[in-house]
Amino acid sequence: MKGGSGLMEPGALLGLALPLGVGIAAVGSGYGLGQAVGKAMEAMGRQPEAADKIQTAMIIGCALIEALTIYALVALFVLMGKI
Amino acid sequence: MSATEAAVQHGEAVVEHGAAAAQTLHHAAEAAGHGGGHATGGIHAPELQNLLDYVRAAFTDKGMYDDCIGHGFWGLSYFDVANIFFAMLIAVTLGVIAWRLSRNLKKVPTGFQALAEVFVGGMQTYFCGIMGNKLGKIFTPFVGTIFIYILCMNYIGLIPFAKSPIALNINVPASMAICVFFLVQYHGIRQNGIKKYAQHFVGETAGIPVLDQFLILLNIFLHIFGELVKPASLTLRLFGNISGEDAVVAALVGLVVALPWYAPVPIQTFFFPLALLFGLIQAIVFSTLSAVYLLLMSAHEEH
Repeated sequence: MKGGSGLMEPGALLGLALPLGVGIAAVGSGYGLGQAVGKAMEAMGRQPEAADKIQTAMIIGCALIEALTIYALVALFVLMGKI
Repeated sequence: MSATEAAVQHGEAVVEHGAAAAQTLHHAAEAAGHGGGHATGGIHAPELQNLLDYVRAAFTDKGMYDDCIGHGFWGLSYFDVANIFFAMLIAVTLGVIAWRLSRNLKKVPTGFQALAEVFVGGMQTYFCGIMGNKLGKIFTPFVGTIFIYILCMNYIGLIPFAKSPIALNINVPASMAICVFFLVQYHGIRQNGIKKYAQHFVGETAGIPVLDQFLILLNIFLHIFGELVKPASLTLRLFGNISGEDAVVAALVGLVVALPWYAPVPIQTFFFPLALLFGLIQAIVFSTLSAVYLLLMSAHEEH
């Protein structure tokens, strides 16, 4: 591997940055998922007869939020060979 | 870890695993500690051996962990072929089941036909709830087929000696997302006519000379980008979720292999309920989002 030495080596930097990146992405989408699911639960508790519709919308929203973490995971898969 | 180092470790692992697999008939796992699996198109992750790996190791002088065949046949590597093989296996199986089922339909369903009717009816109710009755009846065959296909592809990764076609290779999910993309565009043109479809890209004009041209350019760019992002996000979501799930299973199997032989605890079993749930949710999400995209494309004249 070309580059500097010690921590400045590209492999070492990637080894540090990739898990950290996925972790930071997970923090963000975890907060988002908490908000979304919490509000959806509140709505379901207030209006149990609309639970089906709320649940469908919640699952779609959760998938969209979760996708952001998955992008970080895909970046990890792609760059893992360079460590 | 350098490539040669990894190759040496792979070689050792094959020997160990060969003995273990003969004894237990278990997944011979590529242990998680190797620091990377097959080089499947630049994707490195722990991965379980599938049936084709054994066949290839038996009939060629390539080792089980050797890299691609080469870039000969349309640029397909061995690992693309493995994924496509399992995808085709599922597609043919589902097709044969559907063909056999639809040969002699009875007015009063019995047995397997009754089960299938409950399943299809449930899907039609679900998609009609999202898209409305008219669109739902038109598109349930397409979206429901995608649902069943993805569900089977997600679950086959949990069967020993099989590999999920979606895991660690982007081609199969991308193919489905591209199908959805073209169907959405075709539906948009057919439903609204080519003029309204183009108008949707241009947006509304305010009547101010210079600002209008600028806004039209901006609108066209934004709408085209928005349409192209949809299949990309569908692909990456499915690919990332299932790859991650299968990589976790493989890593856990690697932990089992690393245990002493007298205490093999099947650690990966505890992850299986979660994996089943993830597979189902991803299948639901992919088909639901396809339905939502179709709905958005057909209803946009109302706003």
